[in-house]
Amino acid sequence: MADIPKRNIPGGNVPEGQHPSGKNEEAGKATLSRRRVLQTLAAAGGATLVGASAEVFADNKIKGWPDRKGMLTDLTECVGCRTCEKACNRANGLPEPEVPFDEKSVFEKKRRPTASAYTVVNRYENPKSSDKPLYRKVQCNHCNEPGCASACPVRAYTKTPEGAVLYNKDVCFGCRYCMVACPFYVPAYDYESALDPRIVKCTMCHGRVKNGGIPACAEACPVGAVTFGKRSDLIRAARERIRKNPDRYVDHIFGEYEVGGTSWLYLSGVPFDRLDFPANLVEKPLVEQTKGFLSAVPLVLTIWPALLGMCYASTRNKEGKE
Amino acid sequence: MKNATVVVMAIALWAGVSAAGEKAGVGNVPKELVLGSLSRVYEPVRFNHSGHVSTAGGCADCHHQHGSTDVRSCTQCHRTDPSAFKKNVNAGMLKPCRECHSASAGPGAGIDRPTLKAAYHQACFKCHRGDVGTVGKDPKGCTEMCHVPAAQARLDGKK
Repeated sequence: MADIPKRNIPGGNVPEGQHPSGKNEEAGKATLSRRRVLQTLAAAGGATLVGASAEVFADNKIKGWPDRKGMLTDLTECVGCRTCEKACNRANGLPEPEVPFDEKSVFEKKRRPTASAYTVVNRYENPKSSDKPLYRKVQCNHCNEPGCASACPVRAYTKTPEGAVLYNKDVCFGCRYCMVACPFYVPAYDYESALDPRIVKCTMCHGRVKNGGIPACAEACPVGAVTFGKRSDLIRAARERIRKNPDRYVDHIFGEYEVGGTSWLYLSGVPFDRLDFPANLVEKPLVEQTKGFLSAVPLVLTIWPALLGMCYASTRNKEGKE
Repeated sequence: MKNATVVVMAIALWAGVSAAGEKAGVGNVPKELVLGSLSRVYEPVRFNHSGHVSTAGGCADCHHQHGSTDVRSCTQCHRTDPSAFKKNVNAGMLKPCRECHSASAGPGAGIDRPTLKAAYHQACFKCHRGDVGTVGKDPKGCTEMCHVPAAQARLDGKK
């Protein structure tokens, strides 16, 4: 007798001695079963979360498409000639820019990709030699696990086996979540056409690559600062360059692990944050930051109301009998 | 039309590869080299070799094989017998850059070794960036220093 209330108290808020002695056994059972329900419920919720995070962890290990392509930008080679910008413009049939491609005044402010320029080159001061400014080519980095694709509510983004992240304007309704999700501030919105929403960004010349070609910027670069090839080959070559020229490069391949790895890789002679590369990026894919929570939402929304409802119903019925 | 453009460009490229001419200068060192193997956007570059010989510290300043541990033997580039080599370093033909630095720009090109275009430019930019010339400070530096844009008619014909 004495131990029943003890068991009751933690389990189900049943005040001591409230139940007639005859019903104590039954009350104990009811309380226990309710506790079991709560335990089951918690376990279900926990399993939902644990299950999701286990799945996410597995994602990080997936090698997926080992032959996927990539680009390597060696920022120590770039001389800021803007030939890549011009080649990109021609290859994508973009409008002629207001300022010609051989104009240096564009370097006076930092630019970002726009609807009419999928790639831009920005100039930075060189801490090692003021005579030789540094340049950074900016374009979509084609993440292995793209944040834009995970943020898009209508699946307008596709990660292709070739490595490029493509965008389909036919399903896009212009919410611009991708612009917020992108850690590199890449997707640009075409404000010229309000009735035909369109996000624009680099496609890593997917059409040319599918036909055995290479992206226009890589083909045009006069100094070999932009090279195209198998991502794994690029990483190997980048490591080799760092190993052979430890004084020339910082010992880091930007994009190898950042946000789960990107197709576009970079080598630099100065720390990357000096060239405005985001320095606060996690190594896990951005998808992981939200996937665990978001994948639990449907389960929580469907299972929890039912279970809580059952819990409530059982309690109410019991109280009704009294 | 697009196919025709590609064909024209390919012919121009490959015809140009075998068309790098040279004029003999003092001491059997080329005086002027015409670098036209890749000329598509620009006219072939008339490279004043003897001028560079006198201003540069030595062959190794441009020809990376000299003094480099990467190269195994002189005969890798200088194809000649030793006695003839003493008289004339260029006797028996010099191995052209393009035999190692591929002129093609297919997938994977330039990963392990710069393409021909990149190798040329990288050699020039050792000096013509900052120290000599405005390359790297002004995109117009390309045409100020070496390149003459190809005739407009030629460009129009390619379109």
